[in-house]
Amino acid sequence: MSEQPLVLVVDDEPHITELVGLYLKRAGYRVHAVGDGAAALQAAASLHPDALVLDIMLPKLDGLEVCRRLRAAGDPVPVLMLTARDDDYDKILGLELGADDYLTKPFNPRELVARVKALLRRRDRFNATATAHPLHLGNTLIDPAAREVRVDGKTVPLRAQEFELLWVLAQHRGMVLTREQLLRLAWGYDYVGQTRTVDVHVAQLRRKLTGSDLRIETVVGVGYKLVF
Amino acid sequence: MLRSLRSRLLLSYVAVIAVVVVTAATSAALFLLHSPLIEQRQFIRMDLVARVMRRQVPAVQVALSPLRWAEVTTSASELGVRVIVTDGHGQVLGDTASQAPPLLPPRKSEGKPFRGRLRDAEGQTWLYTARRISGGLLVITTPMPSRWQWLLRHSGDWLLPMVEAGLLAFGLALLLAWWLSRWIARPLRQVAAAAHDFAQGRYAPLPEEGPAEARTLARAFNQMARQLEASQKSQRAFIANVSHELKTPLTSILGFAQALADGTAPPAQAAGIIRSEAERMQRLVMDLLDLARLDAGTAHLQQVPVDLVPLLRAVLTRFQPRAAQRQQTLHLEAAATPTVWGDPDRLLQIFGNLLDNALTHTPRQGEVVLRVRSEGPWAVVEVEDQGPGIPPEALPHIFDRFYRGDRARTGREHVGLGLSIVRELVRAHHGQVTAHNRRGQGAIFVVKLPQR
Repeated sequence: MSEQPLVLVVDDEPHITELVGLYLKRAGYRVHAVGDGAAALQAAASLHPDALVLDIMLPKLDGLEVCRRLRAAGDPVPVLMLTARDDDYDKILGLELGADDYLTKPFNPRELVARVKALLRRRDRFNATATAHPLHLGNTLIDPAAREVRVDGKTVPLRAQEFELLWVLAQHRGMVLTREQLLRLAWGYDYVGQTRTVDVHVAQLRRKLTGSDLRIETVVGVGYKLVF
Repeated sequence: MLRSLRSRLLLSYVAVIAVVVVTAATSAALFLLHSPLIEQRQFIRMDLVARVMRRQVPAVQVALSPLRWAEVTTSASELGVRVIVTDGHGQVLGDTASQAPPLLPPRKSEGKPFRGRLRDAEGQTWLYTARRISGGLLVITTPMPSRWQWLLRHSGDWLLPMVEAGLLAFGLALLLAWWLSRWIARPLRQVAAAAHDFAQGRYAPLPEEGPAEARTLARAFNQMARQLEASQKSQRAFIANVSHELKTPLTSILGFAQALADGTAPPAQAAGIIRSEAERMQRLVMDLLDLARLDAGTAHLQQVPVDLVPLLRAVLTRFQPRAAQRQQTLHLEAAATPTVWGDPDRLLQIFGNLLDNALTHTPRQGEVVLRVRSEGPWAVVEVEDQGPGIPPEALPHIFDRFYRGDRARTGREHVGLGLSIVRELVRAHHGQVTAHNRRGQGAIFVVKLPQR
């Protein structure tokens, strides 16, 4: 019998680890829960989980630090961060911590399961885009095989999720995509609740694509579209 | 125009300059009015005339010859003088202004030329200079001018340069005043600009330089700005903490409600968790309301005499079941039986929160001791635990809202408001609360309340 994916859940609130554990188990995952940052690093090293659900406010070592150390040690495990503060968004995604996604409390447990699923599926989806042909749009080259973006020949360092979002926008260029559509297409979510992550990623992309002919326009009340 | 300090300064300088110029002009005029210069000028002229005439008329006889006298009269009118010839004993022999009121020249038969003043019958004053000639005196006279008339007649000589100098000084002074007023008002304008920036949310400390008053102002402004910033920061932190502390139980409540609805969690478990998390939220909300009322001063505290020992016994009884759960023991050591003024419910809350904190930090089978004693005007209550103590860096913040040194150390139900409420309540009772570490292990909280 093939092993079920193992999800490491880190939160110092037992009721929340309990809740997350119940839903993940029902979705067919194995769950290991720990209550502080130091224990999380130990468990990640010894159990090799397939994904991490990591709260930010943790005793001993906070979630941001746990994530930073995991990435510094070269661990590519997908990380979904939990936060109770709105101003943590930028810390999670802006500082290039290496977290893959986040949810704000209070969250719907079904949405959490959907996001964990998407994180675990992501590698497969990346392999699917790898066979597509490169796109030349003005001075910008998007190469899905190399997962690389060049503006005037210069490589723009994009994180995996940012590349995925740009690829989806580029394939639907000129069309308006809603945040929900983007979450389904670029993130692979089958359950959509919080959409703020799209806005944060778009802001990052715009910043990184300065100098490119590509522009991501906001269509107020609808979503985003890529024009060039 | 007088709205700004600068224009007021400028105007005051202008006023000072105007006063100085007017004073200078007045004193110059007064000086001229009283100076002997006017008369001296007159005498010098008359002496000159006298010297020339004496050569023309060396003797009384010569002067009085009709032909010569006509010459003398002509010269006198041309030179603007009146010439009188006397015999040296007071007898007037000839007068070029015969129509004018008669003048009685001085009598003097010998000596050098002499001068002086005379008054005619109409009261007009005359200046004269007299010289001896053969057979009598040659007297040259001119009416003594009124000083005012003289000043006015010669105003062109002195008034114009005075006005010119005044205007020049005024112009220079205005320039100086404009620069000075700018210089003096600059620190004020800087403070105003900084205050404006601060109101817009941009804060840059003011340089503490310039005159002493400006430095004081800048220092006070910087201090105020820093305090305001710190208070804004703590306000933001407070709101972030409140939102965090409310969202955490809310996550469990919403999550387990969902789990209850879709059958993911057993109903009894979900209901129990929802209830305990809702209670936690309720406690937090009550604590926040308490703090808000204490901050606003609208917490109405009773003022009745309260015997501390029975009150503390009641607190102990209330916490006994909780202590028993972890085999902890509670002790009360009463060295005195003080009475204080206060609100019994609030005093119960103070010692309840301290006891809650002590039990949370004391390990299983540990002991928490309450001590009461009297110390001068104070009733002193100590709450002593056997926990790990308070880290030195946490001591100054232990009563701050939502402060928790290490979250691993505190129980999860502890949201960090209990000790803040204790501090505010003790303050409202005009007392003090402090925290220390015991030498061996554990912390000790000391509450001092004024005795009745």
